[in-house]
Amino acid sequence: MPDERPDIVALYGISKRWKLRPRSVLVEGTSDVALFELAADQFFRKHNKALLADMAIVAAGEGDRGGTHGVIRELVVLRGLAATHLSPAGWPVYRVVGLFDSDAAGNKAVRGAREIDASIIEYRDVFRLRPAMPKTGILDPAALQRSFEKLNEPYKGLTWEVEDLIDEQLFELFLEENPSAVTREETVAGKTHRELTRDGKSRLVRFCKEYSELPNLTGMVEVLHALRHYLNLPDLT
Amino acid sequence: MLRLPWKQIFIEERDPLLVAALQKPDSDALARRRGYIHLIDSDPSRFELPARALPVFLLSGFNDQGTAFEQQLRGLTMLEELRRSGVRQLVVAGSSDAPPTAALDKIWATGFRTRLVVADDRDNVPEQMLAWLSSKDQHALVSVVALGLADFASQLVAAFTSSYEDEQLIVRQRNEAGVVRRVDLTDIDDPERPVLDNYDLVRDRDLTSADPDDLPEEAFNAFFRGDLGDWRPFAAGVPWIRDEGAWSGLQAQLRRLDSAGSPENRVTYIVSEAGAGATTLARHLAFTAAKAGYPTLVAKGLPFTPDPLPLINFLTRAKQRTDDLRLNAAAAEARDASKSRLYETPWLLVFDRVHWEFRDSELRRFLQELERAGRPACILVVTGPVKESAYYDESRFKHLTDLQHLLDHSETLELGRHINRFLRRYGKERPEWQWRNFQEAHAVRYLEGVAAFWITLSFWLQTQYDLSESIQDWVYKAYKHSADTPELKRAVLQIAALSSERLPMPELLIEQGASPWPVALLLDDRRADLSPLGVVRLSNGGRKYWAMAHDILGRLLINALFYDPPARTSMGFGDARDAQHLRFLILREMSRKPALGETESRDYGEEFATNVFKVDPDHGRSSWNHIWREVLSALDEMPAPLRNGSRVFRHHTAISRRRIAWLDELAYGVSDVDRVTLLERAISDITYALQMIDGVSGGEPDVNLYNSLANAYFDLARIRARQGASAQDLAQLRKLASDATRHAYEQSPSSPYVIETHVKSLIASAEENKEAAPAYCIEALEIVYGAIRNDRSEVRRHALVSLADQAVAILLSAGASSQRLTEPTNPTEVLVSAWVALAKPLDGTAPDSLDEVPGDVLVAVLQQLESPAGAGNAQVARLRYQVLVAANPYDFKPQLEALDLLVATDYRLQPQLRLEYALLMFQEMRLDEANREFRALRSLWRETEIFVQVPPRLRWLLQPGGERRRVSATAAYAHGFRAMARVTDFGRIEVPYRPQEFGVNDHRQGSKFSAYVSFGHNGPFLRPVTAARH
Repeated sequence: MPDERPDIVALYGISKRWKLRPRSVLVEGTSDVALFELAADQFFRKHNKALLADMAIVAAGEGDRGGTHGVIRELVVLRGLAATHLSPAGWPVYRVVGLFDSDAAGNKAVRGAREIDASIIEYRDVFRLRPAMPKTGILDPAALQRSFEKLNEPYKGLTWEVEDLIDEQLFELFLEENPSAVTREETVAGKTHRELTRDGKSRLVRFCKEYSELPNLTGMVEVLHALRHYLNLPDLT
Repeated sequence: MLRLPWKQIFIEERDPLLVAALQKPDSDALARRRGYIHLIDSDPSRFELPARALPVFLLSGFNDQGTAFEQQLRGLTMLEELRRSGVRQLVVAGSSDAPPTAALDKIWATGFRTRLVVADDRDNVPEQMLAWLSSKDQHALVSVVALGLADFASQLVAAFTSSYEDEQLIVRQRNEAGVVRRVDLTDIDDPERPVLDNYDLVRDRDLTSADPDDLPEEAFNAFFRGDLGDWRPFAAGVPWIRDEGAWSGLQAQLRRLDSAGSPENRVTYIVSEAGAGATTLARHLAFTAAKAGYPTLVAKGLPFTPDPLPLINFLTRAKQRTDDLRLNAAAAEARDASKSRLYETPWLLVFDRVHWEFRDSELRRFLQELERAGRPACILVVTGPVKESAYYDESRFKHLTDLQHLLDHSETLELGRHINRFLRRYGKERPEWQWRNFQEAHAVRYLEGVAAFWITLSFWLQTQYDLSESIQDWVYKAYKHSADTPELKRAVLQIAALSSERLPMPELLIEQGASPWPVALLLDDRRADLSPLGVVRLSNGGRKYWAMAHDILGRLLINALFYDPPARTSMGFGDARDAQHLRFLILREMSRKPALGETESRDYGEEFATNVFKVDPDHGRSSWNHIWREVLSALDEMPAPLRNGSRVFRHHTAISRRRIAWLDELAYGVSDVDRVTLLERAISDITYALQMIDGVSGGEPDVNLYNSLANAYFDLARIRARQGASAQDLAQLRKLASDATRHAYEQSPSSPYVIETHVKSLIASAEENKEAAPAYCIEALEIVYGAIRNDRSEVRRHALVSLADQAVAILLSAGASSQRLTEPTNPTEVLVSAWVALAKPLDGTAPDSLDEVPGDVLVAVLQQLESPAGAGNAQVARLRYQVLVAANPYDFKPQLEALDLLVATDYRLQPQLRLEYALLMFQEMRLDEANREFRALRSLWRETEIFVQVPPRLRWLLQPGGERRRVSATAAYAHGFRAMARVTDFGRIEVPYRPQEFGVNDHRQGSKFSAYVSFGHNGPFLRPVTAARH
């Protein structure tokens, strides 16, 4: 029978200092991971349901520059490894998807990912974070794309990043303390995107860790539910 | 009879008359089939016969000459040839008084077994044969033909002649007017080293349209089993083509070749997930092109290294044949043939993924060789989903389409309707609900990562598989059922392991084990039983291979075996730690076969270094990371002649070692000591390959080896620096790296790989020499941004920007920013302050490209570059040109002036800048100079391996305002010549075009038409005013 050593996908995760799970999401930066984990932690405390027990969120790279390139690079490697590690029944044990911000770099990355690996398909292997993320419906990429486009019609053109999922109230408090953290704001159909400085992002994470409660992180929890849906994991809403 | 295309002939008794008869002139038709007859009367291992030949082994020599020892040696070595041949059938015929078993005793004693045909009309021969076989405890199939030798020979010759009438190589070939004719190319292939051993020529007889109702069920099923050698399913329209875009793209490229000839040679490619139907699409395109009159060669689906030289010779002989036929026809019609002498019908050369994977730079060279030889050809290649670097070079590589496994409901139903047209005739039509169920089952699997649409469909259509169980269960059940001896089990498992790497298994690697009967023949016997496993037999010039139709089937079989411990333990794989490790253990068994050391198997042996055991995480090859020590040992244990005689093998094992040297210690246990050992070994292997192994055509060129050597030294210097090595040691390593880089750069200054290494070298020099650091960094940045502008590969651009970051960081840390406070006093200071300014908007990091730098910053930088301190300096002038392009891409005048200045400094412009100079001169209507420059460039492209790109802004002749400029053209030549036109305003310059794009087959000389002027790396080309801009 198989020995107890980590499998080849898990070993690759160890080499990157990730704790991969059978379903994993690659995001652009460490601050994204910290915020999602915080939201999952708050959700667990309130509902006793672990959103990240069978799904890992891991950062492909450090800082801004590694972000989208890192997600693509690691996605290509992990998809290749996942295809070789099969369950006793012959199914891939792991499935890994990428999540990009919906900004210039993220939009470019979705195209870039296909340029590098033509088998990567948006709405199956890579997703863009959008103000509205469908949490139900069939998972056929074309159907999911239609659902994404319909729900986000009001927010067309709006840049959307993980930090924008934090609720207004908490963000206002953060801005009171850190007025220079934001360089630009943009509001479309009631949703506001804030462009944060590099330092502002890490301060926001610290601020959230200190002051946030579950209602402040509802947007992040919703995205986690949506990701679980895309990865065909049990519904924990 | 002996002149028929046998594989080998053995003549036991000396017979001068027979030998004399065999020495008489040979039949051309038979020579085409089996090469020439070679009479051999001594140890055959001392001869090297041509790739195709009919050896006649004279077991008694010409005249019983030689000592007893020599005679014995001769007999034994000749029998060894028979034993190694693996022939499937041995015919014993003769007129001696001895029983036929007498001849067989010696052969059987060597362990050789095969099916027997005995021609003998004596009464008791069948009984004798049966008695003989049972005395040997054999179950060989023996057929006794009760005919005397003369009757047997005459009947055999008659049967052969009636079944295999003389094969003509008749192809369809279009002429310059687009009229398709039949041309007989019989005899153009070399009988001894036939190109057609490796390639299938699509012949006229293959192209006859067939009614779907006439397609036999067996041919339909064979198509879905993956046996694509038969063109009848293509003629009947079995392949379901989702969109015809690929043919449109290919046709457009072929038409460019029609117009412009070999300078327009290109690689067109299909990107595809494994098993998503790319081979079928490629063959469909081959069929369509051949039908349209473009002669087509399709590389056989077996691993071989395509050599351009014999192919060029073949195409040249085809051209000569066509020219001769044309001259004869013209003479018969009493017209002037010289008018059509310039047109040469382009060829289509079709390759699958197995031929060029991981060899993209060799593919580029192959293309260049064809262009250099002047043969117009379009290459069609299938590539995997992760493209290699060369494919991003749009000047030479054209993307046709992407294929995936994903089919939605409506597509599946459409496919169902298409397939049902055929199934209906066989009484096996599938109702729509079944197609719907099939799609649903597939969609679930696809989302979970099992990509096997076509293979599942193939099983399902053959009613072998009903979707109720997993494919793995299905495959494993079939394996246990049909592989019923230990030897067969192992052989199928080995086929599975190699198929998981998309390699077919040569029969010579099949282990005989304790099987009393040749395992290859057992596989033959079980072919029908093995078909549920997708096992197919392939052959190439007499060599046989076995493969599974899809790599996933191989993986699933091995996975299932891993989870059946008693079964795998019984096969000696009880120690396998996981399914991947089991796969490795099976592959390692294969890699140790001495046969891989033989010359004829070298290409195959190299696959173990380049593909099977490659470790290269950056290029998606990570699956051996965890057992890297075992993998490297396996490579080291491969046959010595391969390791010591192949540059490719040494180079690729060195690349794996370099990559492993950077694996993580915690996960993979690569210590610092390991890293040094790995890199030192990589260096010694590359050095060995460079110094001890001669380069051969189609092999690993020096430039690749020097580039890898430089990188290995750089890596070693980094590790040694981390370990605290002395400055002297590090300087020595960097010098060695720098020397290797220089060698590579001298040989191929525009190769993207070499550019990256060269920049690394400059940065390493900058880190070492603080005083000269700014100069090194400036040079590095210039090269990086020159390359970024022309490289479409995101991965490479990202790597280049990372290097630019390092260069900018050095500039800044060297206190370069403080220099901005004072007026620069020399060109270096001018350039340093310019680069610092360019990096400023990104907080001191390098921009992704100069186009992304804000306009005001670019204007400020331009002012800095105009400082008198930089006047006359070529580097300043080049950066100024780059910044001008970024600031105002369509303002050509100052860009051209900047290049004029560069040329005036008598500086030798790089090819990319020379190309842009020529293009800008066209834009600014300095036509004669532009034309001259292009003429020189065309010869440069032919003679050297240069990577250049036409920048998008210069792709069309533009008018002020950026719109395309419409020109008036006048057809310059009448029918028969490559179409050229004179353009008003272009003076005497003639520009090629394709009349068909303008809606006519030919323009009469003097016809006027409007056109846009597009530019390629060979110069201008006229396009219709309806042509899309992008």
